[in-house]
Amino acid sequence: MRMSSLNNIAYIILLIIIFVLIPLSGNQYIIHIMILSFINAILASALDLLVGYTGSLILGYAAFYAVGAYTSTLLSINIGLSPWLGVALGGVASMLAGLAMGIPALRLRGPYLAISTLGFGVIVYLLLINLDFITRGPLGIPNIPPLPGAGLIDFSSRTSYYYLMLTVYIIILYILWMLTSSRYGRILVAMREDEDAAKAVGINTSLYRISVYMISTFIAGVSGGFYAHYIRYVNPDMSSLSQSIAILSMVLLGGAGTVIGPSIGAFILMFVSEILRPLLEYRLLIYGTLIILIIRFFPGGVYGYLIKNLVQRKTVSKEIVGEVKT
Amino acid sequence: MSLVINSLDVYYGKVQILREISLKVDHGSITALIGPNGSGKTTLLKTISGILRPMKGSIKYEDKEIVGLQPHEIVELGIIHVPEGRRLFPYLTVYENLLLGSYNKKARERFKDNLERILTIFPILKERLHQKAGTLSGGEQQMLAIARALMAEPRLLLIDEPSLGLAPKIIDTVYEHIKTLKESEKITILLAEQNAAKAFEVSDYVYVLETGRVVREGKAVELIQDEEIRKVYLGI
Ligand SMILES: Nc1ncnc2c1ncn2[C@@H]1O[C@H](COP(=O)(O)OP(=O)(O)OP(=O)(O)O)[C@@H](O)[C@H]1O
Ligand SMILES: [Mg+2]
Repeated sequence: MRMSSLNNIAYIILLIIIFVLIPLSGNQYIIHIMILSFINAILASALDLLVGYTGSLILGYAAFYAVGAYTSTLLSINIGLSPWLGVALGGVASMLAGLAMGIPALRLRGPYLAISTLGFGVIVYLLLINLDFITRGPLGIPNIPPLPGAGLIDFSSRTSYYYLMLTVYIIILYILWMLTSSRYGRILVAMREDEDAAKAVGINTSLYRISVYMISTFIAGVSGGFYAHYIRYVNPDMSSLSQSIAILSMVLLGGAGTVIGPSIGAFILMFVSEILRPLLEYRLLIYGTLIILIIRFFPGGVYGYLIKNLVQRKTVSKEIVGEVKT
Repeated sequence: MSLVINSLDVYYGKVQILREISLKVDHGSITALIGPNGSGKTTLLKTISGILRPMKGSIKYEDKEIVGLQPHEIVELGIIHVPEGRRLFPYLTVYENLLLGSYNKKARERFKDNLERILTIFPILKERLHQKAGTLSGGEQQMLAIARALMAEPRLLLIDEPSLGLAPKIIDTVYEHIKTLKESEKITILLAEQNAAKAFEVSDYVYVLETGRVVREGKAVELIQDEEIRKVYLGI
């Protein structure tokens, strides 16, 4: 047990070193895709809190990403609010949207929950298109101010934005890891496994369900804000169904219910979709097929597959040997 | 009296399941609910623990009305439900299941002491502490379900079908433990049981449910003398 957690720490440090070194290559294109990958990895990890840890299939999740992005955008353009504050308030706005979706959905499970969240995503999409006097509708909003620099650091440079996103990504993943390996995470898993049994031991399941919606959607909103001030352009497609499906694909591809899985999924899909850019029109088709294949053949995702075939094989054989001896 | 239920009506949607149920559970006793499949035993226990809401009637625990309270509030009062079919968290370890059992604040503070005490009652769980609950045998799972409930420091324990799916010898062990809880832990117990012979053997008082009504009741030692009960429920 202790050995493997030491190993894990070694892997994580190695990974961080690689991430830190990447910009030294000077390849702007790679740096750009990495920034988008970090943003998507944050978003997918936040979604996994709902999909993996509470077992709720959420179909309209991109709505929260868009609410965060638009909130920060509109606040910084219209009232000149600092984008830093905008990103935080984008998180808050997204969290309020999360409550608006989560509270009525408290009693819903499975496909009913999935459909109602799909509906929520569609509503946000339609609002962004139709409230054109605020959002400029399908045209989207260009010329969003970048994040202002702090001291010597200027975030309009791609490399410094890269390091900012890397830092934010590490912090958020660390928080999620702490959260899911704590008592709180164990309670979420217990609720996912058997809600009635969780009630029977005295868990206030509604409270936990609402709080996890709030945490998840806050993070999604923040990632939307960071996207908006990086790309400096937003449009309603951020909340489209295909965007939602893309985030969900990242979670399932990497491995739901694992802290690191959704990031793996996000990095793979971001790079693969760059390579497949000519097939952009078929994005939904590709993601849809991918989801079906993963669920059919690799229900634990890439991470689950790796763990099972690399790590578990060792420990399982140890267990068997141990049993024979005793 | 620990628990007093008065004219309880419970529905699933439009279908009435329990009709005018009244019953009492004495402090420190074992009270059994027996009756055929679908007679409403589980429904009654779920209603007491707040998972279901009655349409009408009252449930008083230590003279306090508990109808309308949330399940977690009822747990805090000391009523713990061991659900039918054990309902463990199969992918969590035995230890984690016990940890979740002591979810409420008071019990959490005494987690260590309680764990030690409960593992001496159920030594088999000590050996299995870091095994996933889903990999335990049926009998072990039932013990864990009861142990998990004990971690919440119950004063009234509701146990639904403790013998379900277990071999006769294991059933005896489980019931030995249940008797211990009453005798040395001073816990009041209300259990639902299809195995009428076992129910009569361990309990002080028995209620017979049929299609959602209490049709007979009495002290176990008296009711077991009844011709009809012997024929229908004990097959003698
Ligand atoms: N979720 C539900 N929805 C509708 N009806 C239900 C539901 N659960 C139980 N019932 C019905 O309520 C009645 C009582 O069921 P209950 O589970 O309380 O019986 P029981 O006495 O515990 O039976 P068993 O000995 O088989 O466990 C049955 O007719 C059953 O079909
Ligand atoms: Mg039952």
